[in-house]
Amino acid sequence: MILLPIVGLLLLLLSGAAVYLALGATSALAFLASGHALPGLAQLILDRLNSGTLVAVPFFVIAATFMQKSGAAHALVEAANAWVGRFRGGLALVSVLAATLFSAISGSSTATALALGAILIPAMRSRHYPEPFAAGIVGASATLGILIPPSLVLIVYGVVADESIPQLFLAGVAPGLLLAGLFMAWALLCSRQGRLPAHAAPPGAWLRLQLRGLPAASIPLVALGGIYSGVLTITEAAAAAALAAVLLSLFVYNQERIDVLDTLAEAMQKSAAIMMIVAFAFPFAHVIAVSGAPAQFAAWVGALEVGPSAFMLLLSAVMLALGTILEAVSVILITLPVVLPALHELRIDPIHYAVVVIVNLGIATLTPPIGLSLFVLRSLSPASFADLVRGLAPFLALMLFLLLLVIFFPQLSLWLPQAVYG
Amino acid sequence: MSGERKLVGALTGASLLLACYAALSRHLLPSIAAGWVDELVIYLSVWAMWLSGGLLVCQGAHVHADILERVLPPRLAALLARAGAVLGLAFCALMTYAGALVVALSVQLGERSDSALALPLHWYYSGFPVGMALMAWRYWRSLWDAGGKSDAAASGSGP
Repeated sequence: MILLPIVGLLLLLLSGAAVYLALGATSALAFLASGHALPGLAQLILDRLNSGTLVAVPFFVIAATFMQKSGAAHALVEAANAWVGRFRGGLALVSVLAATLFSAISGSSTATALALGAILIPAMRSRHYPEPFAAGIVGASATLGILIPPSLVLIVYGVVADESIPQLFLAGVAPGLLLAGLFMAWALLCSRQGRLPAHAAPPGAWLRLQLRGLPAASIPLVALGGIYSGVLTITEAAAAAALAAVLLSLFVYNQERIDVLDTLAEAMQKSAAIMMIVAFAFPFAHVIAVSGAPAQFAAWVGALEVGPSAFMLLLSAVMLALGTILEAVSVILITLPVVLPALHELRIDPIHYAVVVIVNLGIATLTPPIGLSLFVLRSLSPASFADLVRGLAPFLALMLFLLLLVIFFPQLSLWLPQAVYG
Repeated sequence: MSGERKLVGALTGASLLLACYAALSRHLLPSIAAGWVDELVIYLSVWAMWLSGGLLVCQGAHVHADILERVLPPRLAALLARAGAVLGLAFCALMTYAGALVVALSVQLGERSDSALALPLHWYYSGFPVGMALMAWRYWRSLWDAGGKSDAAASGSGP
């Protein structure tokens, strides 16, 4: 019986129906088939959306949208360049550093790729970096957007799995920084082999560039400092970050004149595209839970006698496949209700699993033929599709290496939340 | 900028300012902190989200997988898009009706929120049918426009 909604959902998704519509229509049919009235579905959505935590999503998106439009991303790139630009392949290192900083504002891979790619890909092209390498390092660095806190995907995971969002954020820090380190090491190696140029900041400009980048770099400190000092809730921290971003965009950066009302509407529309999926995933999760499928799946997994690592490897294959056609939030919302009880059965910490999911989805968004970030890169780089894939290949290999580390060494994700929260 | 988009921007801005007021007052001036502000922040944000749904339909910006769209011949892809719009129209119309029933029941029961402000819950609930109705309208318009274009193409007056 449960197969019908799942197969229906997959068929609708493959046919190109909007994800919210596929989730909503299959849930509505399942509600009607089981004799429930449709207002029950609407009531379920409205009750679950009445949550302060979910409001953090639009607030973080507001921060990212204003920072992207105001030229703050440019200031971050220049500040990072003042530190590492003098090294061979300096712009590649700048790409990783600036992505790490911008991720701590945006919480999204696509926003990071768009904001930094528009600046760094042309800059690298003008200094004769190979096109595939330039697009590859920007695309790969942008995946840090969903690992480095605050991650929008982790907020949604926390709401659905009922896990502590501050702990989830902390779990992404060590793998995120390790991945940034791997990317930088690879960039340095390529720089030596390919004799990539250095791009030092003008002499005497170091202090000016740092002062220009400092306000943008301080936004993550406001948000994350507020959360981990215990002063601000996730929503309050997101609101503080958003307000700081609006004020900085208007009074400090303001590269192009920003229409505040229009930019707020643009940010809400971007958020609504995610929140609508979350809204209609609630009744879908209800349909799945009521069917008993998660419990059956957990019992089946228990009977298979596979270890936690083997189970996560299997799920990784599923998530990589789904992640190449759907964006991250949708994959989490579709798989998590089924998988959660099995995690308890195998004694996998859901916080550890969250990081496994995130790394998988980071890889999936860059994987041909359909990875969503690939299309962002294609819009920013004149490299052919084949060149783009060639440029991304070494970074995908590094990400797969990180995935294995995260799966086989749970402490990589768990030590920081455990150290902070006990 | 359309009125709809202005309204979304205004609701989002109001929600952001109230959330900042809630945080500041709670930590710096507890005497003026009000619990109902959090509730209002959620209501405004959720309203803005539902209103954005119609704009997303209009811009074709709802998240979707576009594998078939890329591989099918244009005529078939357009047909599939039209089928998607028909499904969207039917679903959103159904949800408008379901949402309206929830609002009507809430009015009938006189449901109010838990905060000191005790806002009528149907204010919050009504965002859902309004948003769904706007989305249904946008799907209808997209089907109407697509029909007009194919008629024009068939009669040779198309671009």
